[in-house]
Amino acid sequence: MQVEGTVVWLDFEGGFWGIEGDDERKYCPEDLPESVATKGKRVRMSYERSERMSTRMWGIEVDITRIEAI
Amino acid sequence: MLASIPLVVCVIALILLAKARIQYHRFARSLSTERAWLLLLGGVLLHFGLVDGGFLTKLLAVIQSLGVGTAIGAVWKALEETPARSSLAAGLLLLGVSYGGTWLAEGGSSDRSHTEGEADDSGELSELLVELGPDDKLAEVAATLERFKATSERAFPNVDLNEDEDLAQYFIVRCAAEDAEALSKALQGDTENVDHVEPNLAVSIIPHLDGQRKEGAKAEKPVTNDPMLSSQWALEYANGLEALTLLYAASPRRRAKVAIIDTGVHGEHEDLKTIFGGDKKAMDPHGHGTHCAGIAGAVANNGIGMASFNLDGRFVEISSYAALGPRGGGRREDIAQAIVDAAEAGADVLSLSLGGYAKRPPQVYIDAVEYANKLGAIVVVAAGNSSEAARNHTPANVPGVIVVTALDRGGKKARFTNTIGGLDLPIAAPGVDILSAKPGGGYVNKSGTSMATPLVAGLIGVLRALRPKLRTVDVHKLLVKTGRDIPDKDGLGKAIDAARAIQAVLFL
Repeated sequence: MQVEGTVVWLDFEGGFWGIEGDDERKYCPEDLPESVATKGKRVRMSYERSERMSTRMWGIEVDITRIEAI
Repeated sequence: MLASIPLVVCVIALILLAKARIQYHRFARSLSTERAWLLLLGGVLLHFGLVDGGFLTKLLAVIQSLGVGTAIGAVWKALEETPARSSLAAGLLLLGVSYGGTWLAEGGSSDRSHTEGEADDSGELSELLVELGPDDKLAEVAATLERFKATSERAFPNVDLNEDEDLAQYFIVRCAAEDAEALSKALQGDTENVDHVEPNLAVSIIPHLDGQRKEGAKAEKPVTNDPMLSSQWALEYANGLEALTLLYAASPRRRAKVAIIDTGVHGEHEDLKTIFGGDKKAMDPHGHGTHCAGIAGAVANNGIGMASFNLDGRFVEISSYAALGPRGGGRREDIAQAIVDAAEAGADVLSLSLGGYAKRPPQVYIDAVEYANKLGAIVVVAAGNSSEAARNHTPANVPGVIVVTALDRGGKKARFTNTIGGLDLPIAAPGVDILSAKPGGGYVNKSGTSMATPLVAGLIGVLRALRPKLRTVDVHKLLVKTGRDIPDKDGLGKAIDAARAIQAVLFL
């Protein structure tokens, strides 16, 4: 699956990176590569949905297979 | 009746000694004389075993018995036409010492007479709250009450066994203040009939517990000696300072176990180590679990760091189930297993500050929570942080869990919190800028429904420590009934009011 969106920094639960998709969904990767870890960065992300539970509880947990700045 | 035996034995012994004196004109050594002395010694010792009260009371009873016995022995001698004046004088002197000592010990009050079954009404009275077992009757402890001349009445006369088998079996027992400790011990020793005994402490009405919280009201002096208490707005918002004040006089039945199912807990943290029920070497590579543990149970009033509702560490013990990894994520199966493990280990409350998006709750969660509830555990979970409907998040959407939403410092919806539409057991608590413990020592502020959840879990732990039979629905009903209305009540639930909740449990 693929989506384009904007990198956001969520300042709760200790702070973590997320992606607000252009499809108005929220995507929560466990790790965001440093290369795109900047607030407001536009990215194109390929991902797999994960059933992972986490402390973040924001959006859909995903495992990134590929991500690039756009 | 039993208390009279030592007196009778002493009197018999002294009469025998008087007879021996009559026969031999002195206490000559004879078998009967020796037996009489042994009998007298036995009678004296019996006072300490059968007479109720403190050491002074027993000693005065010995002197009284010796006085009576000596006086009767003097009468015996007089009837045998032998000199008896000195014996009579000695007997009267002993009686005088006994009654005078009793009068002084009781504060000089006159009129100590009272009828059997009535508590002394001229001295100070104490009250005990006594709970009998559901199948037990007051008549089964009547002998004990009679021994201490205690009175009793039902504490909740309008509640019958069918409505509440606990409340219906509560009795207020009144006795002389000096007998309260001995009576309490005697009743506690009757484990067959008595479930619980505690002092019926007097409390005063605390201002603004009527829902009209004074704006800007602050405690005049710190309620506890935790140096960071003033930085914990969440405790104050939740009426936690008044709650801690109430808890000073409260006696928990036992410490409740609150299980933190999370990234682990640093068992050696200075504010947790005395109440941590797991391996003290336990670590938390992420930090989230330790933060939650501090909110739920950090010892209050230990002169260290922060406070929770766990005053003096008397109410809650924290255990840890590390179902999440060092990056804060975990598998559903591991979390379900942790729920089962915690419940089987006897946890009273399970606190889960975790979750994920799921339109339907996974069956494994449904089964695990149902099992935990069946074992008596109350499961408290975070609503989630997507600012969406919590019913699309799990385990918030699992039947049988209490779901916690987050409030900001103004008592309004925290911008991130999920909302409660369609959920059965919602409640709200502060979840922004919450101070708590961090691994390695020290404290840090965090925000999230993760922080609101253990605040509720810790409070429920305290309620369970006070009334261990409380179940999920009872607790939620109580939190809602005593909770505060907030502007976003429909979306978040009512906010916890810890003092009202604890007061409701203490003084139903």
